[in-house]
Amino acid sequence: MPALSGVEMNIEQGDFVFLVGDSGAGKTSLIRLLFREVMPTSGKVYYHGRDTSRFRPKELLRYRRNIGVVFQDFRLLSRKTVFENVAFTLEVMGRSREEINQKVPRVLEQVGLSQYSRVYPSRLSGGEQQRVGIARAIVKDPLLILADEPTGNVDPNNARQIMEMFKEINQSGTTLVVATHAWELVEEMSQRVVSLKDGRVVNDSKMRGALHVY
Amino acid sequence: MFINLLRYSLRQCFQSLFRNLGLSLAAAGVIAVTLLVLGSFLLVAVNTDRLVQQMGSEVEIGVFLEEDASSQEVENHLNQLAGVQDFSFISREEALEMMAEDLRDEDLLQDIEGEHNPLPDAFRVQAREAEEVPHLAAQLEEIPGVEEANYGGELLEGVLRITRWINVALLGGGILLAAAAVFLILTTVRLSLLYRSEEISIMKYLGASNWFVRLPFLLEGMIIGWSGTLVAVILLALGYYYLASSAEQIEMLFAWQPATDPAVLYPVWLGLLAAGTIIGGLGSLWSLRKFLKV
Repeated sequence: MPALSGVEMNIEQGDFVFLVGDSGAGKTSLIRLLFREVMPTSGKVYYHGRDTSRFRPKELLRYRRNIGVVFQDFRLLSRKTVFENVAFTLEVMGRSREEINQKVPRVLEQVGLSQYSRVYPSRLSGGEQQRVGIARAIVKDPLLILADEPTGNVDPNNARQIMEMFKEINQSGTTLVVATHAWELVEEMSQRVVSLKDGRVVNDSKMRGALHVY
Repeated sequence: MFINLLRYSLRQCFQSLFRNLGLSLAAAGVIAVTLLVLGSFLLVAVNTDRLVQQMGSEVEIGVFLEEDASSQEVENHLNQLAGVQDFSFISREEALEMMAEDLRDEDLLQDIEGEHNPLPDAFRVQAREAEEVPHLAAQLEEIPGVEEANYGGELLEGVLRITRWINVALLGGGILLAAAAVFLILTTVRLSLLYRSEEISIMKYLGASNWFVRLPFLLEGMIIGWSGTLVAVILLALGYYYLASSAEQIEMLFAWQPATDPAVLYPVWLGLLAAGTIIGGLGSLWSLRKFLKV
């Protein structure tokens, strides 16, 4: 049985989309398709009209550099400090030291972690680690942020803060796709909600957009 | 952009070297030992080659003429032979004087002087290459008026045969050791990669290019290879110059002296350093192949 089938949706620049559904509904598979970590066995994912499965290596690199990813398990580098983890994104993109030294503290302040910049991730709570993950995703000014269960390992209070953070990021024009099963939070946020069940879209609160999945 | 990448890679590579200091030192140590042995082989080869060269220049072929032969005609022939480096004429009178001197027997001279002198006129011929001596001697015997060409054949042939064997053995051993060194670097870098596989997968998520992932590891391998070799070269040079200086005080077979000429030794040291660095870099790149398929 395929993880997803018959999924058809558009995501437009500036959208804030929640993917909701139980475990195994296909939320993570959809996120991985959007990041082009996996390719569809049938069907296409289009980005500004381009079939992502036909990207050449350089295009794929450019595409991924426009996407910030936030993971449920944070995936921070345990041997790097908070500052180094966030700086790493810019280093990977070949940015200068000056830019890094200027941008990283600003982003850490934005997520409220300035005081932890020299601390290693293992010393932080789950909520704090996830905020490092968010800082890492937004530091490169992405067009799109993909978040897979970002509040899955975080207490309710921190989860709410993280959602508020996403809202602010979205208000600055970044598109967000957030997979979650935290229903209450989704309802509070009053954004577009796409419900998945057994790999199919069972409800989409709004249909329009530039990122097409067929 | 490239400067940023290089700066980042160098920082990463030194961080990794120091964070995994034990592993880095072990790898560099293994390379040091391997290249120490490899370098010793190379030095033995350089010196056996030198020994053969020396023997070639020292071994003389005695060309003895028939009684009625014209030394001028033989000399003309010698001038035409390509394998001849140099030659000198020794008349039968000179030969007799030398023999008397060697035997320290003054009376001998008086007894067999003039018409009684049994010795023939002769040429002393030096070959260009030691390996050519047996062949050259055969050629010399073909010259009209030459009775015999003589060169202490068995000794030279024996030495030539032994050096040929030594060179084959050294080449084989050297190849095996170089393969072992490559394998060890491969293992080391692979361990360091496994240790950092999480980091690499995250790098790819953040949009790192393949070279961005590769460069720190490449530099790491090259630095390990280079520093290991440097230790080997220093130890080897110290040991070799010490041996060479003590050998100068001992009289050795064939008046053999170890090579101390910088023109011969510097290429050995520099060649070893380059080999160690390249082996390190290639080992890294080879280990990285499958980690880049994300």
